[in-house]
Amino acid sequence: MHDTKQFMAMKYAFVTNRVLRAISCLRSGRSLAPDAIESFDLAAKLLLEMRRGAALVAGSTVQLGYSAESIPAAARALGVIERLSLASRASQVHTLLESFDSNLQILARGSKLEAAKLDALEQFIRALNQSLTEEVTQATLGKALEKPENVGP
Amino acid sequence: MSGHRTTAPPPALAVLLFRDALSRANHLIDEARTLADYEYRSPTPPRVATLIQGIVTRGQQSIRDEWCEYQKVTSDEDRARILRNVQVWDSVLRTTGSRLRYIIGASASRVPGGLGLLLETIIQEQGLGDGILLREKWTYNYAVDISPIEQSYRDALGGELDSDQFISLFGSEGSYRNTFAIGFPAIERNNALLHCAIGHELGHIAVERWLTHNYDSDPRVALESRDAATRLSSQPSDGEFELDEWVEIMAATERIRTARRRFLQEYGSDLYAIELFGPAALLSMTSIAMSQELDKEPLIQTDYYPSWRSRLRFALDWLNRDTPDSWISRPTSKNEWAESLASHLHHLDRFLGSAPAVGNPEMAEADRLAKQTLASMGPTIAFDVRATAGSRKQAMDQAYILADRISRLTPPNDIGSDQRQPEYPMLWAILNAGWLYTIRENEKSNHELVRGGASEGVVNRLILKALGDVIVMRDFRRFLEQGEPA
Repeated sequence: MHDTKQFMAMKYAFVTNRVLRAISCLRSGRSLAPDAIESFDLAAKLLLEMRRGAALVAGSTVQLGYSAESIPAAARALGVIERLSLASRASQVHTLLESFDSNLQILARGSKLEAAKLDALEQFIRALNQSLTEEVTQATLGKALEKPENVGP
Repeated sequence: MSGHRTTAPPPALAVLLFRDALSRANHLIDEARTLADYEYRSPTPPRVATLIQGIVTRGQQSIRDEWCEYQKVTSDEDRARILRNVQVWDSVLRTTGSRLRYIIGASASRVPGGLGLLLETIIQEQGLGDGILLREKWTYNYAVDISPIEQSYRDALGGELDSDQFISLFGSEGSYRNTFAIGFPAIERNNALLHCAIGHELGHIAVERWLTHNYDSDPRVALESRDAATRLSSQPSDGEFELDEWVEIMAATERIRTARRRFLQEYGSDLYAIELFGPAALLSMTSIAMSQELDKEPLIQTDYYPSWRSRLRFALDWLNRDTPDSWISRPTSKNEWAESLASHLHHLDRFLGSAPAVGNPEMAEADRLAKQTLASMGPTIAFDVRATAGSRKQAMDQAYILADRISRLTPPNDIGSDQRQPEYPMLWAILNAGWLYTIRENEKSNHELVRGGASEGVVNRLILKALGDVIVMRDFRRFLEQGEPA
């Protein structure tokens, strides 16, 4: 079970990294490779899972669907939103995730995004990438080093 | 110290990560290449070794690419991002590398032949997958990787590789194989009786499939967990949450959802093992449980593992269930094997008592919800096992005959009376015969430490031999009838 969660975290750590790389490309005026466009699409899927999980737990009647990844994705999103102090109430979280999702879809279509929206999206994805990387590295190395039997004299 | 932290480490430190990660990759590639040439009992281990070699080579190239990019970028944030990606690749290398121990543990000298054949046969006949990577492990437990080996890597690397790179590593969609890794405790290598616990590990594969198709995408599952979490926290269920309240409800929902799923995995896998192996599964589980604390409550630290007493109680009740084709039925004539088994199960029943109440309120909710789901999951799993495994009553009748053979120190591989034309028994009958013999000898020895009759070692050898004989002969018959190589 742990392995499955860890491998999914790896997947989304890779995806968010590719999104950040693509945003960096956009800012420097370079053209985007097809795999960068694909990364926006993959990240939009992750955002949709976050919205699904958040809506479900908040008791929203909005029909977004649901999958096994929805709740873990929403829990990750809430952690990041809380850390960055981006919202204080449930309704604000919904609006925020919806706008990130929609902005990623705009980028996935190859369209341009206003600077302020791109900044906000980049800040969220960067924090998410950091959180996912921590999750991955903690799972594969951190715990091993912290086990008491591995603490030598 | 100024107390100020920059986002990215300075280049002098960053280069260490690049060098170390590349060095680890080199080492892993060499190891995987060497292991691919070992001798194995099935084609699965060398194939996985080659896949690992491919993944690590890809990772090595990606880390080199990141190094080139690192040298070009100037912003602190970009450098931090690149280093985080190298950390993730490095984690892939370390996780992948640690799987090389699977290959080492699967080499021919470390895996009992009869057991490997038994599992390969079951997994294919039950439609659970294409193959098994059976390996010994030095941690004392049985374990299965629930996701097929290749699937985990496909999931993880699907976020990084473009489609050409992906196909060159994993092949096209059609070439994908459903192979599972199952581990057994190395010090029990030849303990065929205890290996009946592997029925539970096979159950994990079947249960996971059921959960994926019938449970994971059902929003009611999350809603029920959310409702339970809300009830316990006395927060409003539909009102406007403050963020911190919401974080708390979300975390509790996730705990209840995860624990409920874990309970279903364990109870469901026990149920599967009972359906497949009958009393032999319960007796091997009991044997393992006796060396542990029976009433340990599910905790996050133990990944919500349910207590052994709950599991054994559930498994025993399932075994005793009154069905048209039950493992446990009254023999038509006097049968000392059946009487010994009935007496043993009676003692176990009295010892277990009723299922213990779960103390932690969240875990109690998860347990209640899991039992609710088991009511629909159990009969489906049982039906699937029986559809391919054959009559349970017939298997038990054969086990009584085979137990007689074991008591004459003869491999339990023939239920007929004409040695020139052997009648091969069902595989489950062989395993149960071993347990019937063991229980009766223990009873006869009046609970002395050293019992009479054949030793455990001899019984296990006879069982492994019989399993190997029966499977080889079945494959040979299939070859004669259909002309298909086994």
